[in-house]
Amino acid sequence: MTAAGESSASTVSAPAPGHHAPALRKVLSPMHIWALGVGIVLVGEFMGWNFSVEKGGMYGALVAAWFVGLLYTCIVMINSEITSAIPAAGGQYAQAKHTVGPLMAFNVGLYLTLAYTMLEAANANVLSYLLSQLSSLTGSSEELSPYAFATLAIMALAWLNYRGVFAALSLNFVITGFAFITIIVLFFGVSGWNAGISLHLDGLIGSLDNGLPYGWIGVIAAFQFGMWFYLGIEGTAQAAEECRSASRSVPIGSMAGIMTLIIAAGLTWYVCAGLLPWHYLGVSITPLFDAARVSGSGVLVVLLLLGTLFATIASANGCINDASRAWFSMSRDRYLPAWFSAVHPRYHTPFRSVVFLVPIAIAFALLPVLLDQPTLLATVITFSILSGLLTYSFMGPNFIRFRKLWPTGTITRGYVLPLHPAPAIALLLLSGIVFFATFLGYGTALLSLLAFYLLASIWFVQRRYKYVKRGAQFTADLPRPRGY
Amino acid sequence: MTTASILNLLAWVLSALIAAWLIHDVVRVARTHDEKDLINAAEMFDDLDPQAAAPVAPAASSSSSKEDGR
Repeated sequence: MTAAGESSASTVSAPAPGHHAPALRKVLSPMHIWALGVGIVLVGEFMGWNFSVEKGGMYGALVAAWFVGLLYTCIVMINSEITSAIPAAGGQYAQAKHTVGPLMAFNVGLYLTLAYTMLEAANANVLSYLLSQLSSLTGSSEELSPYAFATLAIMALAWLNYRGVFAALSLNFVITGFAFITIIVLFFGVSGWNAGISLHLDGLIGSLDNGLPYGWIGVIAAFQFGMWFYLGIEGTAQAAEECRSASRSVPIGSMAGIMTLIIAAGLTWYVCAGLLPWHYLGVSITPLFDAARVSGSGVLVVLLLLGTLFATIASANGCINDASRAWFSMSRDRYLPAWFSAVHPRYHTPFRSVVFLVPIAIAFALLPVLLDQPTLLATVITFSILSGLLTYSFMGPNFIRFRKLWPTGTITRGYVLPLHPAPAIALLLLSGIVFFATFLGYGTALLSLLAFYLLASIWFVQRRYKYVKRGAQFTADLPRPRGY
Repeated sequence: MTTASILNLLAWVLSALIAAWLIHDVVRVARTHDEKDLINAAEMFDDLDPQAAAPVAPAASSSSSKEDGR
């Protein structure tokens, strides 16, 4: 089903005269878009990225940070152009329904919902672990329950998102900004500009055994965890419908976001490489916090612990926002029951979608603890990463099609991607490399995930496709595509 | 009671309070507002698209209300 086919299938009955469907409130600025994108991602600097060191050594992790950074820069630029032309909640889902068709859109919407819900669950789980660490640091011999605090984190953030997007993302701006500043403070605290004082980078010079222990295949394997430096920045597109000016806010907020993350990734790698031996760094749970502890400064330890906590909360908060928007958008297009597309009359949020996803997130957060299977947390995170990867592999071809349907000059764009089609092709190639790297580490999980999405697609075609109003899909204010 | 168990209890109580507030508000909004004033879509109900549903119309129309809880 093509976009033209959808637009020509005029099967939509107009709403009753005088009826105004409730809408999401347009209150967001570039600052909030930055907070949403960086907020979801920054936790990856505080934990997760360092597993790339185990796979490929210090230099492997650095090369992964550069190349995966290039992948995400392509994503951000592509997103900025399409979202400035199609400013709809759902982000990549809304793009897919305009450029490809319902089945692709359903899959992308599902990837997005599950990627963010799983990441939210993992964040809540990690948050409860951090609180336990905090209590032990204060000298307490009693353990806090991981169930109670993981549940409270999800409930409190869901409540905030239920009450309004402005407050939720303003909070994200403050705590994400704080977390980013703690990384900069750590760099200055260990005199990062003068490697001879606190940092010990000599281990990386000379023999490649330290920096590149597994050769180039290790570098490829490191790509899988190099994603942690940037995973989730594409979520900025989800808030486009709630921006005062999407064509301005999304490009500015997203570009500023990826620049922030590249700076944070560089500083994080540099400081950790100088303070921690790679064998330890590769398996550390909280590398930046551990680096602060090695520095011997009490202030840095407290700051980095708070930074890790805030980054985790910001990530969960952004994930709730994004997952609910993806679910909400699919519902209003009838991919899911229309009940979920309700907007709160007072708070102007997709309140039913927010509430519906809460028990799912809690279940995934608590299952690893309930079943006493810590590896299940890794599976939950892998599910989230792989769902994100599937979205990225769609975005390159989708952008090439978008430019074919609406060439430059035919519609107003807030941002025009330079050097087309090079970024789209680069995105496709880099996604392929990361898929290969993920297959090396999590081949079974990858195949299981593909099977899950295949079954979900069959369900959609069999049970929901008949409700999809094909003409109503085409919601963007765009002219008929060229050639139709 | 130890400090940790008090904190755990407090977290559970707060979670329960928030859950109760959320559910209460969802129900309250549904009772005090017409569904068409809440749904953000061109059409209010999941009726079938005549074009898309043509081959399976009899079975689909009977399952429509069941699936969507109407």
